[in-house]
Amino acid sequence: MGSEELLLESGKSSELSAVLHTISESEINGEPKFPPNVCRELGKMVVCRTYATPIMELCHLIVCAHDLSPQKGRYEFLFWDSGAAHSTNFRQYCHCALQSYDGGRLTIDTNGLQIQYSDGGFAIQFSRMPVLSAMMEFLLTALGYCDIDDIFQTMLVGDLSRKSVSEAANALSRLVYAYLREHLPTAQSQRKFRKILAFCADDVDAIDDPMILEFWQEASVDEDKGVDFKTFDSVLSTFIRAIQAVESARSLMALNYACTIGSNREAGEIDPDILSETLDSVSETISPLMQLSSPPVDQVKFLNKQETSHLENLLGAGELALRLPLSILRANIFTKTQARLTQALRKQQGSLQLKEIIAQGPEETYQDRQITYQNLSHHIERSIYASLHALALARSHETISVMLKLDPRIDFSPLSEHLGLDTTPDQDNVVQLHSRRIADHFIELVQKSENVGQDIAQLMQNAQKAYSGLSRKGFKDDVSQSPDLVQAFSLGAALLLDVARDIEAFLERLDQTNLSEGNWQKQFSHDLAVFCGQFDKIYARG
Amino acid sequence: MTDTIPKHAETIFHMLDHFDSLMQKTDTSHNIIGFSELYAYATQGDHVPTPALKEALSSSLKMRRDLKRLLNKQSIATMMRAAAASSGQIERREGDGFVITLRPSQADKNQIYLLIHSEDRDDSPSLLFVEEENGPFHRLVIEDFYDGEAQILLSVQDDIVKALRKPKVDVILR
Repeated sequence: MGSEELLLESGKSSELSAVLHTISESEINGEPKFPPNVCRELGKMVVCRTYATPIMELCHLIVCAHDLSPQKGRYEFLFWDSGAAHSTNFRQYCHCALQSYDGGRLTIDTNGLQIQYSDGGFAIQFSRMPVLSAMMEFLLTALGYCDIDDIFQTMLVGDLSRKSVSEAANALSRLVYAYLREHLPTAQSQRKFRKILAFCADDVDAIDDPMILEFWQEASVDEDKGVDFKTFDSVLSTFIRAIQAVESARSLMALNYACTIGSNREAGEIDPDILSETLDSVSETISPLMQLSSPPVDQVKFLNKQETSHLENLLGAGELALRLPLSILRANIFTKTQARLTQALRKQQGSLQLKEIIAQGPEETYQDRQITYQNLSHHIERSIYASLHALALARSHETISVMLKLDPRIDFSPLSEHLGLDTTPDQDNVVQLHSRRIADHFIELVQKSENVGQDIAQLMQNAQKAYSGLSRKGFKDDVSQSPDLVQAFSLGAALLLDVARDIEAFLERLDQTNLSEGNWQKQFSHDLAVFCGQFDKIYARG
Repeated sequence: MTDTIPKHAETIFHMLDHFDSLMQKTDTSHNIIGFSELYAYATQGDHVPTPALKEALSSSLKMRRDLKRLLNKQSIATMMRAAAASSGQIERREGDGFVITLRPSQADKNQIYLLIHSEDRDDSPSLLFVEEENGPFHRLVIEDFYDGEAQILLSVQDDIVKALRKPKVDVILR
């Protein structure tokens, strides 16, 4: 494929990107309509092509929306008159709408809606509705309202049955298939992958920090217009994805997944569900960040935008951050300068201005960034302790679980005489806790060392101190009156513990890194010269 | 690809690479209008349309078609274009129990009153849309529809006034 065709392909692909970007930026009543984790789930369905089942669910939801609409046939109300796409909003909308519903097809329970057709039933959980709503937005934005509405109207005016809903879902899936065939082309991506493999001589295990830097120095000034390797962070990300792809493929083979791999195995086809699982697996470390900024956890501002952004590269690399620590730091430190250069080029600034940006250099050094990670680690630890206090205030049984995660070896035996715990140690020498039983009396007990011993009392005092020191959203609300807030603290604390572990492991890895220049200060000076020289070659010459 | 690289690695790489590019928050040259924005434009008086939406509604047939479908579904009243034989400017339209009249202001010849009157309807429209033949949509927020009527003072140069005077436009109240 020639460069022009690759550019054309890139345009098609960027249109799809723009559709998903528009969806992620959609607002309703001044807040994002779709939470980050829902947008990510939608992106996953698109790239893994696992949209058939969600589209089927969506068609059933359209039937519900049609039946529940206050005006006949206006299924749109459920999606665009129910506020942001949160399960709680959908639950509330459905409960309200059902009060004036006089049909016989729908029933509701605490988890969702059930539809009864002549040829069978179907259930949709409220927790699925946000992502189905995002799928609906995607269909209407990418393919157009009229075309999609035609299919829904055909489905709704006929004799509704599971079969007729299936037929509508299949018609929609065919439209999506055709759209993605055009908008998710593979040639450009194939060229990227093969270029990386050629550079490492098909040995991804040999990829290391010096190799990535060397590749960038070569590829960023390459005239190949089909593949853009100008920015260091895009090069790093491509290397990481190449390693993850090869390692995942090896795992699939090792796990003998061959039997479930798609029909055209020779061509490298993979079952969409396995692709989706693979994406989940490589996204495992970044997913806590998504969850922290999505409902229900986003009711508490554990991390602000800047803190989240500091963690994206590190957590996005997963375990490979430990293998490529210097590349992670290089991307963190030099990406901003490169972004400013790209921006200046867009504004058609001259080489003098570009050279000024290069001379200004990055805003921070490697050592500054390590301090940032350490500060983040402390903040996260404080937030976990503060969550513990919030949960204790709410007398939530989750208090015990967070306490155990913070200090698994804590001695709970002083609690036993008050709470009737089974103090017989099991094989791992862990006291069996009946956490719900404890919770009822917990708050009175935990603050007195004569009741709970010095360890627990100290832990809870630290927790209270951390809570008092945080004034971000959620930390000053009355948690005892809000079950949603209790859930946010409970889930948030668990997610933060995962993030904290990854930061700690990375900082430890940085301590053990053998630097070609001897120490971090000299390494930074060396890399600064390398990056400035390369920026000059890419942007400021000619 | 050599034996050391499993065949499926490339497929997995495509998926990961596509996922990254789809999730990237970068500037884009494509002005995509999300359906949520179109829906808000069609239904909410307080929605302020972006320049991109206005541009799309004037240049994209598909976007106008989508808006028309939405408006047809939720309209309170529709006044279809005047008969083919009609010529000259239209100052009065009626349909579905509503009458729309343009009446020049006595005080200022550069201004005109748009009067919307309900003859036998209880509904209170909050938006007025005018669709020109093969042309753009115009939208007017009806802020005070009280006691079966609204009186809105506009400039005679206002695009919506000019459009309302043309015979070949559809008018939708919602």
